[in-house]
Amino acid sequence: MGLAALVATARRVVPGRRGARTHLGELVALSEAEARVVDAIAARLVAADDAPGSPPFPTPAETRVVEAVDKAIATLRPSVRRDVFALLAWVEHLAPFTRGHLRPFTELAPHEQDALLAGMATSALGDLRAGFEGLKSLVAMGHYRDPRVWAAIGYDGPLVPRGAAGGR
Amino acid sequence: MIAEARSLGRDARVEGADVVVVGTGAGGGMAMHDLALRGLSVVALEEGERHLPATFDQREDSMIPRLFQEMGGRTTHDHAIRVLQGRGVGGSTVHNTNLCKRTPPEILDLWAREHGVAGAGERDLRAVFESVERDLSVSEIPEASRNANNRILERGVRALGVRGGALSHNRVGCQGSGFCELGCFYDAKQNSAKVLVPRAVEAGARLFVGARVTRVLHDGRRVLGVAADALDDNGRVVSRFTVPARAVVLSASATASAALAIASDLPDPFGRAGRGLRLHPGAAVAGFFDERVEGWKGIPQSYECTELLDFAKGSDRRVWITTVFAHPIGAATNLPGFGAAHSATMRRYAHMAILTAMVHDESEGRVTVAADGAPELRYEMREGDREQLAAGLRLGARLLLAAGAREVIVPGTPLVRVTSDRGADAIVADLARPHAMPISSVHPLGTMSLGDDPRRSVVKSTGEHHAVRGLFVLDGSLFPTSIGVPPQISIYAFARHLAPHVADAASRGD
Repeated sequence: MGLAALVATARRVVPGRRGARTHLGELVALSEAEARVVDAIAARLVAADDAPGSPPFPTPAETRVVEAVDKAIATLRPSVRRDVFALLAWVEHLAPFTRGHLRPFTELAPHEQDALLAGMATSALGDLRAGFEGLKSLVAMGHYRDPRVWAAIGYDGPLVPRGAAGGR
Repeated sequence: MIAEARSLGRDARVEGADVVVVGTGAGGGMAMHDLALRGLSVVALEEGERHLPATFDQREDSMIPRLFQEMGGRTTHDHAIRVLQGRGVGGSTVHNTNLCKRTPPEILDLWAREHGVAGAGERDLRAVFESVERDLSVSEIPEASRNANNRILERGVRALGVRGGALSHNRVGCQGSGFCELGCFYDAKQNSAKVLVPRAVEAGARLFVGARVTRVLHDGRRVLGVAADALDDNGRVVSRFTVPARAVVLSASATASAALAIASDLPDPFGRAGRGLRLHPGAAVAGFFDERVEGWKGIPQSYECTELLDFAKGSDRRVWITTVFAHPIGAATNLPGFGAAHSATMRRYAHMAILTAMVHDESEGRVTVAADGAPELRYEMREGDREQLAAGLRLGARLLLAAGAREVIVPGTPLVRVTSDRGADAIVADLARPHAMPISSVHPLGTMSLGDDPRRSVVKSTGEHHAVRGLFVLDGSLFPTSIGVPPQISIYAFARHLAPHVADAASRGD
């Protein structure tokens, strides 16, 4: 299936109004339904490991991944943005069906969601592998910018304050 | 004078330019500099912003969208290769890792012999290279500045007895912070933005930022100037303006210069514009060590392995190995898998050393123009290049093991784990098929190539378009083949080498 087909599919299932104030944050590009899909994907992609004694990873809800992804999507070229919306619609509505589920992605059990995402990551279809990498890249951007995540991986971070750094 | 293009007002006409320079990276910065210092009236147009180093906050999520085209998300049309290109005054010289290598003499010979490039042999360019290196304060990176990641490569090279050595750079006052790819807060990079553009402006050049050139104006035989959009801070078009000039220099990179040429309907009877795209595609191999490496600290790249790099035509050694490292977002994106297993791998981030293999590519792609006017990059690695990449990653794995790595991974599908020299044989060309492993490019080249035969090139050996007088290309688009080394010095040098021809064209005004 090419991206054109995904886009065509998405046009039939675009869920709701884009840009809204939701419990996941004030959205710019995503609809609330799309934001819920991103939230569910992020929960699996950056699920924490079990490392007793190590600094814990914060959850993607704590690092506000959905808001960061939404903001990043808003800055994409319109054609790429459409592809991302199509991909989210595919993950939510069609991918579960291809694996025999009659529920959308957001209603699957975590292990079912993991199996679906792993299937995308190793799919024979280049578009799906690219789609997985794109989602992973967006979620990583939202999560791994957080100093609590840096503490968990032993990264001591930037040497200057966030934002306009001022004089030297 | 440096000004926002939007300050020009609606349908403005910028008068008095001898030359318009499109783009301010290595090629455009040098063109501005050399032409302004010759006394020409230069107008330079830059799509992005003017970056102030004091605002470079060393964070990926804030700097990558500012410094890179398409917020860092540019890829080939099939999304298989990520293509990182700079945006804003200084172009890619703001985020690059400052590696300085001359165009290999074998490559210059090849261009003369087989591509009809005249007057650009090693002897012709020697003084140009020397002057560029002087202006940009090029020096060998001191051994004392070699960080742990680079020491591991050096250790591997010595242990295996293969060819390697120190790299040179254009930094002065480096603090060793390791944030080079996110822009230098300490302003230590002696690049286009710091060295060339300010001198050009001091000499009278006028630079407009937030100016996206949409069309080269011409009558089919002679260039007339450019038409451009003035943009607001969000990249939206707020007004349009034109700049008439006797000469126009395209220095917007191998992607944007070609896209602009195609969109401008320049005469192209042999369909050459946009063809010949090379990417120097590269991929990474990571080793895990008992000790903390903290590869994000210090100068990112200071040592190389050239065992598999031979510039002779038809060589089966076409891959360059050096170090690479990413801050957390880049690392998390490129390390394999997801979920708890991925988080566990990221726990070992401080213990990782990473090498990259970059192919001196023979694959030829093409730049076309997307419906929204943006460059579209069509490129597929040929089998021979995939084999080169695999060979480079195999040697990279062996270098890491020889340096003491417990385990080495190539983050492909399937994931390859290597713990012994023989295990590296599992790294095969199939891993480099599209979307099987993260492949990226930081050196798009070609697309508007030099040569005296219009059937095989877009511009003459002088850099002037074969059909349109007064239109020049001075950037990485010029190169008829891959060059196999980081291209900034080659681009600076060719811009300096060809700038006198631009000056002649602007002066003759025919």
